[in-house]
Amino acid sequence: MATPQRGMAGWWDERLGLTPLVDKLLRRHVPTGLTWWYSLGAATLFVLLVLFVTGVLLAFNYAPTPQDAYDSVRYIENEVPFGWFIRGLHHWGASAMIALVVLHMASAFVLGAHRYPREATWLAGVVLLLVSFAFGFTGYLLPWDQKAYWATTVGTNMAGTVPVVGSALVSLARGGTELGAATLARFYALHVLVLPALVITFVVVHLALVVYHGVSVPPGAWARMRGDYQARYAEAKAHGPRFWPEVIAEDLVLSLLVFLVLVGLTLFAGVPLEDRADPTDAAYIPRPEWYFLPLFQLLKLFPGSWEWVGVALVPAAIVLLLFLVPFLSRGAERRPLKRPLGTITLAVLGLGAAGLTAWAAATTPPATVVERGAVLTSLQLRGKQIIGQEGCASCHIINGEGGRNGPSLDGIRVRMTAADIHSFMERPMAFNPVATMQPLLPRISHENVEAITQYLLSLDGGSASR
Amino acid sequence: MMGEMEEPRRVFLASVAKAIATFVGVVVGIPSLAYLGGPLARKDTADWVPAGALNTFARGDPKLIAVTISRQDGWRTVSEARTCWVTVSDAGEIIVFNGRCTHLGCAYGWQSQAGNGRFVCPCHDGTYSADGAVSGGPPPRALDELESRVDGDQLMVLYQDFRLGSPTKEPA
Repeated sequence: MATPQRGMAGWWDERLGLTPLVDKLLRRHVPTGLTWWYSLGAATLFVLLVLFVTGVLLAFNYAPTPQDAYDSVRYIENEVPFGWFIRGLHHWGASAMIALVVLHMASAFVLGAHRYPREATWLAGVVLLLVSFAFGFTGYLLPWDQKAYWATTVGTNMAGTVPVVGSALVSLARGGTELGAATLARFYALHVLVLPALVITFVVVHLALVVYHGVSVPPGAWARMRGDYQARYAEAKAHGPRFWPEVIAEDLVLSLLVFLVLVGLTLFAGVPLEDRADPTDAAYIPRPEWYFLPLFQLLKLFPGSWEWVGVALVPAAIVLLLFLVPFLSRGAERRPLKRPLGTITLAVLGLGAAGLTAWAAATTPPATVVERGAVLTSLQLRGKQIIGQEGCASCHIINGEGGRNGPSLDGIRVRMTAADIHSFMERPMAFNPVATMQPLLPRISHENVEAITQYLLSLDGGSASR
Repeated sequence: MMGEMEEPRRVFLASVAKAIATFVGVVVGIPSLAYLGGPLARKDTADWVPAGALNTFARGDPKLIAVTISRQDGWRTVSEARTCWVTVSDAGEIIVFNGRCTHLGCAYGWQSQAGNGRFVCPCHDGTYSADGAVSGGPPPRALDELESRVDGDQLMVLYQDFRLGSPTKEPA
């Protein structure tokens, strides 16, 4: 028993009566033989706390409207003291959260922790996994940069491929048919009101169950458990370490490692903030955050009218499977190698997700194109794309390659002004009555001609072809 | 009890746990305080703004004018209206007062009385004489006079807010 406390702590304790509760939470024993895998849940909770603190701070300087969102994030990043640091922890914390939740879940499954009597703990965990993904999806729209806009455009459009209810789903997700102010408002409401309420509720349930049932027993020490479970578990606990300080110290060491990684990423990798969202930018290549890449790529396995299978059916089946795990995997055996069906299923899902991610990463064109040592602007990139589509290089030398029917365009910025290049392409005959080049107007818009011009202005040299 | 033998180990682990918690608390806590305290480092700037044509001001009752100032509002640069009272002294000198009561910043008005008008603040009944001096109520100092100059036929005002509730006039 704890000795009665004196002084201020004793005064409060007499009035609040917390000692029995604190004793139950902190002085309880856990089974012997726990490994670092058992600290993943604590590390996940730690990252969740970091996300809560940094998220609340970000909300102090963030405005969820298309007019303000991007500028307010830039303000946080550049003007608010340590804003870049707070945002960095939040950004990288989000990725860490997903990674830890998935790892925690996989390790719980491998260690048989989802089995009797912890089925409900697992179910609460599945909800927390889904809530974490929902946090990610609603969160990265908020900066309203190019990635936010385009990844959310694609992400919400995916719901539209579902038969019958597809367009209704898109409208519900966006608060209208198009991505805009209504979308940002509802994503923000979900991200800072609804999802935190859900996550708090289910974390409390999850943790209460962990305390109620105690930490699960490592599969090595006990192969099979049922029947005399309660008596054997009580015995394992009696010889085990205490939660405070033994287990908490281990949990905090792992949490500290995670925290140092987050700080390191913030300091050395920084946090991406792309250009302001531009709905007219045809050159932007939308890609979701890494944890949605498997889903993004899955679509490519289901072309055409079967797309909804990849969008909705496969993910729904996986979620359903996760909810059914405690009912399908009910045996007393905890060692993974003695549960081949479950272990193989997990391996297939894991390898599938990893394979899809690798495939997505391998087929993603670089977001930035570097030519002659300089990164092309999105306008120049669009110009380069249109030049490719229009086959301009069949007559002109562009960037060192192409036909010789027309003049080389390499180094054209030395010979012509930007305005002349633009006007010439729109109406060649107005400059040179015998020009053989077809006018680009009206087939190509004024804006796109400007994009081509901007790309051409980036070309230098080319003396060999003159 | 087995606990006795392990006591030194427990004490050590407890201090490890406390050290980690303290470290994380400091690394997150100090930037968080600086983040929240950011507005403390910001000072309003003063700008010369046009206040109207000279010939619209005359001796007699003070005139209420609105000036448009530009200010940094978080991530936005905004144009906002502010009020000033312009009086012309018997000697023909133009005096401009910031339109906020020096007590708690309410907008005050002019109460015209034959030859003896006064500025009256509706919030806590602070009153000022026509030259801005406190004549009654809680205001801690006279109305804040703003610098002004004549530019052609325009009156220009250096619009600035001052710390409210203080007996001395210092920039907000």
